[in-house]
Amino acid sequence: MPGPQPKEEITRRQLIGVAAGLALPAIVPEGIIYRRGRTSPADRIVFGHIGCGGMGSSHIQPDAAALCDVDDNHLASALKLVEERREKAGRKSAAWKTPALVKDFRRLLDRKDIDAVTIATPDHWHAIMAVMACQAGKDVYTEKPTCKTIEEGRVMVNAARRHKRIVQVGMQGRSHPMAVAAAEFVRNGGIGKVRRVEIWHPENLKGVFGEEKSPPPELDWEMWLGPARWMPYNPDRVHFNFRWYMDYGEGFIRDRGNHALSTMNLIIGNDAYDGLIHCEATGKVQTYSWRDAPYAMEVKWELPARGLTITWSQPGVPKPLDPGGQPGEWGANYYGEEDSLVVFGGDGGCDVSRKAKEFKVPPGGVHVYLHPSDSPDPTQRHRENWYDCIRTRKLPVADIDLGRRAVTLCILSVIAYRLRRKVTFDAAKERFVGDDEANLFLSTPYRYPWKL
Amino acid sequence: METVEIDDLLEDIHSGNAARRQAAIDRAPSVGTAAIPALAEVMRGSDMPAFRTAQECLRAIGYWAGRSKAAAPVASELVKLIGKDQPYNLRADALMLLGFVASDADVALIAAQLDDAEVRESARMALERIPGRAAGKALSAAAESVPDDYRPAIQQSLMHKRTKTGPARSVR
Repeated sequence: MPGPQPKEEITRRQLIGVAAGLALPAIVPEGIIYRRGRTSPADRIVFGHIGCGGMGSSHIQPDAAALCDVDDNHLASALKLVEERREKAGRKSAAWKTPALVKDFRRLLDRKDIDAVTIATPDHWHAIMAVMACQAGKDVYTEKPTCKTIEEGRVMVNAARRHKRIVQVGMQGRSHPMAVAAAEFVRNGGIGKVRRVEIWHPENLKGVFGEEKSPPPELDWEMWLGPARWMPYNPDRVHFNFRWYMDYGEGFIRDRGNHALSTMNLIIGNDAYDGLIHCEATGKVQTYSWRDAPYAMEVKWELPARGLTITWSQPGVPKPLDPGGQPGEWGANYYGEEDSLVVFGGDGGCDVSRKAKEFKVPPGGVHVYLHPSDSPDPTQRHRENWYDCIRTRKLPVADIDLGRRAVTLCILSVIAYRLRRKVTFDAAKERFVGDDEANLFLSTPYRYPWKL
Repeated sequence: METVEIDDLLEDIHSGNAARRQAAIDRAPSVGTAAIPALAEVMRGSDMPAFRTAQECLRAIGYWAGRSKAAAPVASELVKLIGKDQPYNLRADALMLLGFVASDADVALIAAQLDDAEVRESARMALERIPGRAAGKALSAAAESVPDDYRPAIQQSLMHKRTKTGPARSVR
């Protein structure tokens, strides 16, 4: 049976917590998450995990109550992972029942014993699952990108607020010490007022025509498709490669773009922007595969209310952090009125020019919150922030509304690309200005029986 | 002139050169409605790269047409591609695009596809998106006539049309 933390562990953590002005999460050594200050089994936060492949596997708790995936192979691997993590935790308990394995996420959400869920499915499912999870009284950690449409984002925020749920989006750049260092440097005037942000990123992964055939017996293809329009099964569409299809992922612009733009919002203090956004976008498509998301996009957003221009280029021109250094795979140049700054990455990987690393916030300056954690892994730190907010009921660092705001920029770019012209979006009203054609893209119909 | 433009488009589509195919896609809206029958013909064929290029050309025309005076003629061509005599991929794409360019005049032909199990979901989703009264009326009529097991799907579309942010209310 799990018991109290060793006394010296509690004392050290309490001291750190007092110094930081925060109460640290009660994460006992075996990795079980409890409600604050309590360690009895009844106070355990019980997790269910929806989507157990890829990133989803990293979220799986050793004492997970239920695992959900539409692919039996993912479920089998996830179950093995649970066993490995229990072994590593060094504790075996009769209370640690074998997690239930389900293919229909609604069965997981039906369970009254589950307090919180992670959602790591293909993107076209994120909104529906997150909303239904909130309605079922669960706190939610949903992977990025937050959602596919403007309407989805609004409904997700409304659901979280109405049902008083803690919803964290997997934008773990906000839990990366380097991103926070960049934010403190820039927001304390390190480069002056930021006028331009240029993001560079590799092109989407290219593919070939896969074969349309009957889905394999271990995969529930109907459930995998869910709300997306019906298409014949093709192995190239599923699992990691959903990213390259317009019906599911829409390419790196929404996948990594959500990370890049969320981290940008953190760095320049743009989370509350409610003015107009102009957007233009072009893209090249693959014609030797079914992957129809543009593999190389050029996007420009203008935010006139803050005199800011943001660009996204695939592949763009990679830059080094500091003179003489190696260029990064992806990142952004921040150009201020007085200086510039380079930031690599913005997801679980992030690095920043030396001047930002060495910067100390002056007295009275702007501090940017970094959730305290012993873990060197920003994704783990990000999860711990979520666990803590489940206890405190405070908004997490990547609250669903921040996720909505960041991904809105990505969504606008896809709409501008499809319409092949500039669009103007009113961020406060969440509609395009004088543009009925663009407003047709605010929402999307779903395949029955799925709805928000 | 139009014939030459279409011939040039087809030549690029069949060229086997990625840059020329991309150029065809970028140029397709300028050729516009007149290219649709030829593009559909390519999409009935078995040359997959040409199919994909023609598909992207069709989408480029369809999405671009919404704001231009070409919406009605584009929609008129697209409704010719949704019948049972057309392959599934072509029907599905045409119905998807009709959601963005169709008007009241096109609704009846789209609604007729609600009787076809292969594409009824695509037709329903198009009607859900199309602004104006005719699409809503067609869905309401369908709610009375479709098989019982499909009625909830129609009702779902009617509900979403009533509650969604809606396409017609632009900010001025």
